[in-house]
Amino acid sequence: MKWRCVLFQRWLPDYPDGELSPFWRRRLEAHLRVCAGCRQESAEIQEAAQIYRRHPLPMPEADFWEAFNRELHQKLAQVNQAPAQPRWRRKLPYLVGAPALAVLLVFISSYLVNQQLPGKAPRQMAERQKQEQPLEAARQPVLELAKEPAPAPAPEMGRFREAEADQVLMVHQKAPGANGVDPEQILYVGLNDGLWQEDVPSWDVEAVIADLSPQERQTLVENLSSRR
Amino acid sequence: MTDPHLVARAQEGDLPAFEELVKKYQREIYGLACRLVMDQEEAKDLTQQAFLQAFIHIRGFRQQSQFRTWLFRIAINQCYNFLKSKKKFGDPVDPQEMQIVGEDSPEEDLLAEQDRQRLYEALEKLPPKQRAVITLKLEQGLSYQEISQVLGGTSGAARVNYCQALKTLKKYLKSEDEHEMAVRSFPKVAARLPRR
Repeated sequence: MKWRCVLFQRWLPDYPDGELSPFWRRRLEAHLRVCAGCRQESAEIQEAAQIYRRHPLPMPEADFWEAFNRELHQKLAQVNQAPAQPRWRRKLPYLVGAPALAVLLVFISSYLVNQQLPGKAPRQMAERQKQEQPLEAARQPVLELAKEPAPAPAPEMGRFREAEADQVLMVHQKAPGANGVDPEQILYVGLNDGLWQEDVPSWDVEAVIADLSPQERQTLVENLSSRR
Repeated sequence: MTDPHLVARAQEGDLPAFEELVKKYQREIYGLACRLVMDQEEAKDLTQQAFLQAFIHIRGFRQQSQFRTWLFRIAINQCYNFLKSKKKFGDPVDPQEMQIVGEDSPEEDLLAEQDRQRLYEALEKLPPKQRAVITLKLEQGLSYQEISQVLGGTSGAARVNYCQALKTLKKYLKSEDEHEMAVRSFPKVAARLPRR
């Protein structure tokens, strides 16, 4: 079979009375005049269609349709009487399920993140504790100093390193239990306005403990490790 | 009363309007179901089921296509589901049980009967989709555009499907012919051989 025959045989079912454009009809007729194989194929296809058309499905009698309509009417009436479910009620499972699923996913993801990074959380906590310690300590002397009748002796100014121009690291060196402040209580004091600074921009432990005596250092380390 | 008017009334829950639509299209839907499942009783049930589904979902019908093609689509889906669940095409419709019209003499009756038998056996071998496309085109007279709305896809795909279906039907009819001729020529040998 030639490629031309393959091309034309795709249009044969629409010939002669199908949805065929005049262009293709002319070309097909011209081809059928010269090609015996396609003529035979066309005749066979037309015969198959004719056989199908010659034997339409015989329709049942009128009483069949009466019974059919009676049965269908009962079914339709049954469906029509059933109350229609409101649209929001049909969507209720989705409305409830979607937020629940979202919460569950957030919970699972946070749990998995914490599981995957076991060392990170304690370290972060320790760093945060380190940052929070001076702030907590800073609050205590203020309260204690406010209660005292006589002003406590002025604490010595410790050395400071890399401090900002308006901030000074101040270390109380009095022994614990006295009127003074614990060694661990390290404060930032604003020199410009004299107010307590609670937001600590930077913190160098080495610089702080450099001025402490060995006993005070030991106490500081014990306190830090006990809190950790 | 036109289809869109009846559909609009049926969408408001008017049962008599829908029943009017049922009476209008029940024969076409039944014929289509009969051709697809090849079983009268099943075709009746499937036709009722299709109308029931149409009534339940008629509020969702936006009248972007004809009601008739929408109904055909529902009926074909019902038939496909039935065939899928049964995993077989069922017994062919027995032409003897149906009323035969248009035959004059006993000889013509016999020839027509043989023709019909040949056609049913060939149709039974066709895949359901090809049977559907042949029925929609030759029996219901739908255009390719309408067939594509019923079966999905494009009108070009519907044309290719129809072409393929007709060629396959022709092949099966021819093979039935050859088988008949072989049986007539060598009846004793043919009796010993399996049919296919």
